Amino acid sequence: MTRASGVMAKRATANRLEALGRPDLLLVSFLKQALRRPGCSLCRVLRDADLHYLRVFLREGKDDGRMLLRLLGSWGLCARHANGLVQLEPPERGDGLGTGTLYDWLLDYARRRLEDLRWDLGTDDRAGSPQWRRRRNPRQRMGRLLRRLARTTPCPACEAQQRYTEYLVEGFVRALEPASGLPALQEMYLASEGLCLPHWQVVLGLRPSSGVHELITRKQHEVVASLKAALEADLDRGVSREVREGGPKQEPGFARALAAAAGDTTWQPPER
Amino acid sequence: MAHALTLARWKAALDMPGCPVCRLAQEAGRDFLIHVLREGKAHAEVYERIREAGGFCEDHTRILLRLGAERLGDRRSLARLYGWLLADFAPDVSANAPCPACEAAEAYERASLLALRDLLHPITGDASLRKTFEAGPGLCQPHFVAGASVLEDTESLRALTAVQARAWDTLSRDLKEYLRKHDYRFSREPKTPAEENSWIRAVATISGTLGEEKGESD
Repeated sequence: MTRASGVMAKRATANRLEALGRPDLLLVSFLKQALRRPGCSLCRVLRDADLHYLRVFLREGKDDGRMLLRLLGSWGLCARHANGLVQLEPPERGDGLGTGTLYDWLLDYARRRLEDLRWDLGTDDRAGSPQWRRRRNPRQRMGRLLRRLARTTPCPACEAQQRYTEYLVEGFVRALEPASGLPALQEMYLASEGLCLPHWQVVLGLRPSSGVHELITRKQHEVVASLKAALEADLDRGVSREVREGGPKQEPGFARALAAAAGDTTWQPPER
Repeated sequence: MAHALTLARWKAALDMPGCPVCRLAQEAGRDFLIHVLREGKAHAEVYERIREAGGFCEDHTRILLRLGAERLGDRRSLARLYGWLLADFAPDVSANAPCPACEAAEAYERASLLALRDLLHPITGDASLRKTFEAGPGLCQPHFVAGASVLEDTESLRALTAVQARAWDTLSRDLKEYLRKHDYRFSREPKTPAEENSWIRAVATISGTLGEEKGESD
């Protein structure tokens, strides 16, 4: 290790320790709200952030020049987030004007790219074309034209969520550390339904202090035991009979076990 | 030559609105879930794949939750599978495989695109199916790019781009009318049903469709 890199490493450690004592208060507030509600609190904060992103995108974000350039590379949002826009705009704005305007623009762009492709295909018939030298490898040429219609950058909403996930999980671990001076958050976590399995793994991957590691492991083992008990109870009660008799369509044990195993991080409209 | 069953599924998908490849992939993912839960999970190899993936992805888990009792038999099967997964879960071992239902959907998507190549072939293709496809809404943009990449002859590529150009022109016309009629000067003009849903169709055309649509559950 060189002297400069050693100094930088020491500075990074110092910054990290300093940061441990100063959790983001807004994030702590979000976490407290989420810990009072059922389900994985990290999933809930992420869902809320996802909805917030879509709202801001709909109101202002999509009209920003740099964002428009990005959307040309990603061809709009991914299917999951685009579906979110379609579900969100009518109840909030009364119509699909914002999303429609954006996708009209993207559709025009796609139609122009398609016209280029068709023009190129058409010129194959024209013997003696002055551009014949460029037409020796039609497969390669088609590949190049098709790539202009393919996604080259990821969905901006997915990228934002990815960045926020890292920030949120680190903030959560930091807030549980005794150095943060937030004992109430530890208590709230212990009283909550715990984390989903994917978030449990991500949190452990951050290598928290041994005290916090132990706290999380103990709590999460309780969560898994409770989920197993809920599934057993569902089986004992005879789910098929309940379903036949028109009982509750969704068993709480199933719903909890499935959400805990997969996580639930993207905003979806509430069931009606 | 494409399998007769694949062509039959194509035929059914062409009768429905939207991109047929999106629909076929959605159905493949959903059918995979149903078959796994009814019978497949007891096979060690299948269960091992699910365990390595840490269960199913968020989207397929949502579909699982929405599948009705008549599709899944009862929910005991689901309870057993998730009971096993919880028992085998190790917090320090991350999932190292993709969602098996996503894999099944992607495999069927590839097969569907190869079937498209066969049905669009000018000599060996299915003429009636080709005619139905030419009259339909075409493919979504991601599947158009993927489909055009597997076509081997220029004639088929011309046919596909012609269908796509016509479909996108029609959609664009509807969408521009929808937007124009939002202007206060023209807002009294009635919108046709095709104009009303044109913005939703445009989103599905550019971004593709998610494997979870209303009306597919229960």
